[in-house]
Amino acid sequence: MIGYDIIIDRLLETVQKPARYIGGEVNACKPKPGADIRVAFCFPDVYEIGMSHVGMRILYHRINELDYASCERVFTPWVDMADAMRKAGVPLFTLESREPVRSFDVAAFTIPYEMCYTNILETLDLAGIPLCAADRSECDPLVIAGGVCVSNPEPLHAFVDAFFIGDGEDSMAEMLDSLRSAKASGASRDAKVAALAAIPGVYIPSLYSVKYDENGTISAFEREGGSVTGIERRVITDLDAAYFPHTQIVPYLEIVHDRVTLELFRGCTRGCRFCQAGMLYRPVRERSAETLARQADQLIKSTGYEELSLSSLSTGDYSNLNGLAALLKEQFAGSHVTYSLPSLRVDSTLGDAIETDMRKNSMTFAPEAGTQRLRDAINKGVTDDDARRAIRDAVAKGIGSVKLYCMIGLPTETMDDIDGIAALVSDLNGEARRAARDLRGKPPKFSVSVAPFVPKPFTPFQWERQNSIEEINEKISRLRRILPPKVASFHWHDPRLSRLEACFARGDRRMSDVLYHAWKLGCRFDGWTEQFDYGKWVKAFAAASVDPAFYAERERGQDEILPWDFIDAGIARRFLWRERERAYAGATTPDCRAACQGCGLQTRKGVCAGAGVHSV
Amino acid sequence: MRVFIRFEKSERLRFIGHLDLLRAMQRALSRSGLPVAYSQGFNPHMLISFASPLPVGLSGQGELADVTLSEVITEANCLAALRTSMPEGLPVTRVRIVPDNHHKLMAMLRTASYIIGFDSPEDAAPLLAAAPSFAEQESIPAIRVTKSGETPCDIRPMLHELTSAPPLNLLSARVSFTEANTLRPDLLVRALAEFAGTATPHFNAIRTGLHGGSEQRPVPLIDC
Repeated sequence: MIGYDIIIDRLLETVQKPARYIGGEVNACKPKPGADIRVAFCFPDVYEIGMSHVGMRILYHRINELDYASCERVFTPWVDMADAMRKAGVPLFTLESREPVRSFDVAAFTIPYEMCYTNILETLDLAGIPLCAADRSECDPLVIAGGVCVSNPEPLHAFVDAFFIGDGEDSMAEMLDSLRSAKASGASRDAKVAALAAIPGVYIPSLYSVKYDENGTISAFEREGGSVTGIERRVITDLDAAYFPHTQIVPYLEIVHDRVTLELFRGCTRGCRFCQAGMLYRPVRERSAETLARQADQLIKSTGYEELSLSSLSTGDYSNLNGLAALLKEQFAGSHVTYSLPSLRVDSTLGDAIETDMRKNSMTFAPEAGTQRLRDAINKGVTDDDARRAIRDAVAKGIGSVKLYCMIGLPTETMDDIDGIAALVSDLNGEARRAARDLRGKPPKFSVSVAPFVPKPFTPFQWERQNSIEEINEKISRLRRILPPKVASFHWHDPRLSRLEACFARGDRRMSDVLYHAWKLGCRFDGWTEQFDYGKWVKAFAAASVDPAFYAERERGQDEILPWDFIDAGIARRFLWRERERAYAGATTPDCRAACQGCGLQTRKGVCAGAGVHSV
Repeated sequence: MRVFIRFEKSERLRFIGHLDLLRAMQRALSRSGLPVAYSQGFNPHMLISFASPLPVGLSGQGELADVTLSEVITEANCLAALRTSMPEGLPVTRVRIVPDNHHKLMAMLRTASYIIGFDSPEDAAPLLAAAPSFAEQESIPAIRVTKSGETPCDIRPMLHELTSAPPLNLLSARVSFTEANTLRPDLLVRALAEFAGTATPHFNAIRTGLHGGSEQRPVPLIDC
C-alpha cells in the first residue's frame, strides 16, 4: 500500500499522539504476507489502553506463533485521526503492515467493557466493513469477538459473525484451524461460519432467533432446524501448562500499564456477589511460582522493563506468594526490578512477602460498602477492623494518599448505608491520625470514589434492578453533603454511564438497534468524559423504540428467560439464585477454598480442583 | 566512565516524542546488559542525557546520547551490545568512550545540520532558486513564534550554510544550535518562502548531524 503510506504519514503530522499509529515497537511481530490466515486483532479503544490488555498480549503472540497464521494490531483511531482518515479516504490499516483491515481474513475483537461498544462499529466502519453481519460479502473479513463482555453477546449479535466464549488460548487456534481448512477448500462465507459453530464455546448468533412476550421479556430462544444446547464457556484447566508469551511488545508511547505483567492465576474464590469476574472466571487456576519466575525472567530480559506487575483478581490470595517472592528476590538480586501488586484486598496479609515499589505513594482499598450489614449482603468479607489495620499499615509505610472505592445503589442498600460510607471515612481518618501520632508519621489524605452499581450477568445480582439516575444522584448529593471536605476528596462515576453499562450488560438483541443509532448519531469513545454525550444516547433509545428502564431498572423474575441463559458458564443458575436469597437474608458465604459451595463447576469433570472438598 | 552513543531516529520513529525516546533508550540499555550507572537515592534512575531533544515529526541521522557506566568496557563491546538491543528504528552508528569529567554534549553543541525535503519540484523550485541570494543578505528579519507571543529577530547570524540540490528537491542547511541561539528549520523555511514571495510549502526536515567546535569550524559532536 505504497500509495497510502505517504498519505498516512501526512495525516500523522496533523494528529495528537501520532505514535499511536506507527507500530514498529520492540518485540512486535513482523507481518507474514504469505500466511494462510491473516488476523487483524482489533481493540476497541486507543493504543495506550489496548496495549495494556493482557488478553490481547497473549492472543497476539499465540496467533503469530502458529506457522500458518499472522496477527496484526488495530486500535480504534482517536477522533482526530478517524476524521482525518475519512476525509482523506484512507481505510483503517494495521500497525504492522499498514494494510487495510478489510483485506484480512479475520477481524477479531476483544471486548473488555460496555462503553467501548460504539468503537466496535466505528472500527468496522473505518475499515469499510459492513456493520451488520448479514450485509457482509465474500470479500469481507469474518468478524469474531471474545472477551469478558461477550458473556452476554446478544447486544452485539447483529455486528459479529462468531463469538468465542471463555478462555481464548485454545479456542482461538481451533477457530483459525477451522477457517484455514474451510478457506483451502474454497468454502463460502456461510460455510466458514457454519464450520466454526462446531467448535465448543463458539456462538454464531445468526443460527438462532429470539421471540418476545407482549411484556417485552424473552419467550423463546430457538435454533433454526435444531435444538438449543448450551454454549459451553471454554475453561483452560491447567493454567501452568497454558500458553503464555515469552515476550511482550515494548511501546514507545507510555501506556496505561507500562510494565511486564504476570498472570498469577485466573478466577477467585471469594464469592463477592456483585463481581462478574469472580463468578465467571471460576475456578481458581494458579500458575506455579517456578513457572511465574521463569516467565518473569524471560519477559524482563526481552523487554528491558524494570517493573513487574503480579496480577490477578486478588493477588493476596495466591497460595504461594512467599515462595514466589523468594524466587523473584533471588532472581532479580542486584537489578533494579520493582514490583507492583494490583488488586490487593484490604484483608490480605502480605507481610514482607514482596517489597512493592515505594515510589508509589498511594494505596487503594475497596471496602465497596459503608456498613458491615451491606458488606455481608454483597459477601465482601472485609470488616472495619481489616480496614483499620490496613490504614495503620499505610501510615507505617508512609503512604501519602489512600483511595477508597465504594459502590452505591447495591441491592438492599438504604440511606443508612450511604451514611455508613461517611462514617467509615471518618473512622479511618481517626485511625490514621492516631497511628500517625503513635508512629510520628503523617496521616494520609483520603479520596473517596463511588460508582453506581451495575448488575451483571452470571452474578447473584443478575436479576436486580439498578437504581435510577435520580436515585443515584440523591445518594451522591447526600454524600457530598455529609463527607467532610477537609478529610476526603470525593469523586463519582457518572450515573448516566452506569445506566448505559447496565443496559448493555444485561441487554438482549434489541440493544443492537440502540447501539447502531447511537453510533449513527456520532457516539464513540463513550468511556471518555470529553466524548460522552448522553443526549445522543437518549435519542438513540427513542429512535430504536427501546426503553432503557426495561433493561436497567427492572427486577427480573426468578423464572424469566435471561438473554444469556443459553451460555453454560459453569456456574449454575440455582447457585446464583441461592446466593441472591442469602444476600437478602444478610447471610455470608465462605471462601470456597475452605469448603466447596456447590457453585455448579463441581459438575464439570476435572475443572475445579476444589470441587466437593468440604474442608482444607 | 561515560559513553557517547550516536544513533539514528528513523523516518518511522519521527513521530515519537523526547520522553518516548528516553524510555526506549532506558529499556534498550536494560536489555543490553551494559553496566549502566544509576543515580543514588530513593528513586534511582539511569544516568542518561541527550545532546538535544528532537521535536516530534523530525527524524535524525546523527543523534547523540551520553550514558554513564559503572564499569570499564571497550568501545567495541559496547557497540556490539547496543547493536543487538536498540530498537530497529533507532540503530546505533558509533560509540565513543570518554572520561567522567568530559564536557557535557549539550555544552559543546554549537550547530546542527538539516536536510529539508519538499514534496514536489513545483514546491521546491522557487525556494531553491532564491536560496543563494537569500543567504547573501546582511540581515534576515523573521518572526519567531513562541508560547509567549511573536518576537521579531534576525536569523542571518544563525545561518551558516545553505545549499540547494535541485534534482532532489532538497535544501541543506547548517544553523546555530546553542542555548542562546537556535534556528529551527521551520522558521528558516518560512523566512525563505517569504523572501521568495511564495506560500510556505509542506516539507519534511531531517536533522543530519550535530556539531561542536565553533560555529564557523564545525567538528562532529561525538569527537568533541
